[in-house]
Amino acid sequence: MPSRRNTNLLIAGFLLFQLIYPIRGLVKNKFDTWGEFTWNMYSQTYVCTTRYQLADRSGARHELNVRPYFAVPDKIGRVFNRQDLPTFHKFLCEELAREGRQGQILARVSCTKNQVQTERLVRENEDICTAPNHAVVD
Amino acid sequence: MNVVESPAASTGVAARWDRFWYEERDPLSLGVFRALFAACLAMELPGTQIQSTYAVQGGFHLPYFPFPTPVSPELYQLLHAAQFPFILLLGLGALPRLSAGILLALQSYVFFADKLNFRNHPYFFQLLLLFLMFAPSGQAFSLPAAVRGLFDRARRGGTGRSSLTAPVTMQRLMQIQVSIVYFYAALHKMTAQFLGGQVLADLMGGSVSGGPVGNLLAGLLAPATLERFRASAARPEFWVPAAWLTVILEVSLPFVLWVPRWRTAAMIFGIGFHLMIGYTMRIGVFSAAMIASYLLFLDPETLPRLFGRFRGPSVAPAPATVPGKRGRNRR
Repeated sequence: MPSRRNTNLLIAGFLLFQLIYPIRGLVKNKFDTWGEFTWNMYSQTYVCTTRYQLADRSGARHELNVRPYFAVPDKIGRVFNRQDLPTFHKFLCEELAREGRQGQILARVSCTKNQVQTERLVRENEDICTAPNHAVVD
Repeated sequence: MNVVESPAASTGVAARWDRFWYEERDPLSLGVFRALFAACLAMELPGTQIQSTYAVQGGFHLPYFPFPTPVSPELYQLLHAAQFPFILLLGLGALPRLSAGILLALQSYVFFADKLNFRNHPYFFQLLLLFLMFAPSGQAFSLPAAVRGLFDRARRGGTGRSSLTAPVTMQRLMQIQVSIVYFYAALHKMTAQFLGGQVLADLMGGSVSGGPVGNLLAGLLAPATLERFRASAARPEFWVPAAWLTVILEVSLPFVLWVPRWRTAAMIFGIGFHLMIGYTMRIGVFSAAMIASYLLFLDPETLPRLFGRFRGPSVAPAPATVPGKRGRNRR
């Protein structure tokens, strides 16, 4: 068993983490990060409309359904924040390349917080595979 | 053997800290909480099994760490099925620390395999499992305690429950964790949109139109009245009182649950609140766990006294003892 002093240090460290880390959810915007580990339960609504298209060499655009890439498609909205979206875009580029689908991937991601505040998270006319930060707005 | 000491005997921050964290108390509240929490885990498991499938290989993943990696669908099912025996053991209080540790490991693997698996209440449950790994929760309201009690009574030739004490450290951590959950849940809701009813109007829309509330009201109200109610409930202003009440309650509970004279009222309001959101928003298991956690806030003599009424005469509850050596304090 740890000594009383070590137990005190463990308690203090744990409590500091539990008290300080959730502040991240208060100071960070929902558009920036999803906000896990912050106890932000049912405190806001967040709705996103998205469109992903593959523009082939002829310039023709084909709609991409990205939902099947998610184990629980209804929870796709969890990646629509500036922190996680580049990772998803990188995955999408690699996945389409692996499937042999060539061309530029263009995206539109528009999210609304609490029905009043709307932001576009992606630069619409840039290829998410080659643009800086995978075309996600900084 | 611990020495019983008057709480007034030692003062100062260090002594208060020690008394707060290491006081020895009757662990019955902790034991009953452990059993109820195990029931919550059993109810939660099927839901997690459906919603945490990001931990299965294939598709898009957002890992927290390079490990743990997604698993095959078969292993994923096994990771869940394997939890039931340990939930049972935890509920019975047989090997509760080991069971809590194994459950924590199994749940954490799935949870940390993918950030997309994150939900607040499985995270809360894992924190509770972490505390139960180190808590003396099996010393009371458990199968081993019942067997031990039978032998004790036979040996003493009497009835009643022998007094038992254990360090309160992990119980305190659980109490504080519950308080933190309420406190930050309230802080996050202190926005113009939440207090103005917009968030609740949106969240409750489904419940009012076709969900539990809608179905309930459909049986009580005439169609025209029901339509008027639904039209009203679609407006944010309708939800302003509920929004304010929620925030006031959530910001108060983490403090008043600690104050003996306000605790009963706090628990009544808290239970009402959780029953309400459990029914209307279908947050049943989390609500049940939060209600169960109120037991941890009870004075140490409350549950033994209540249990004693059902059992007949008993040995008086053990007094709080000065922080000292760990272990049981049988008298």
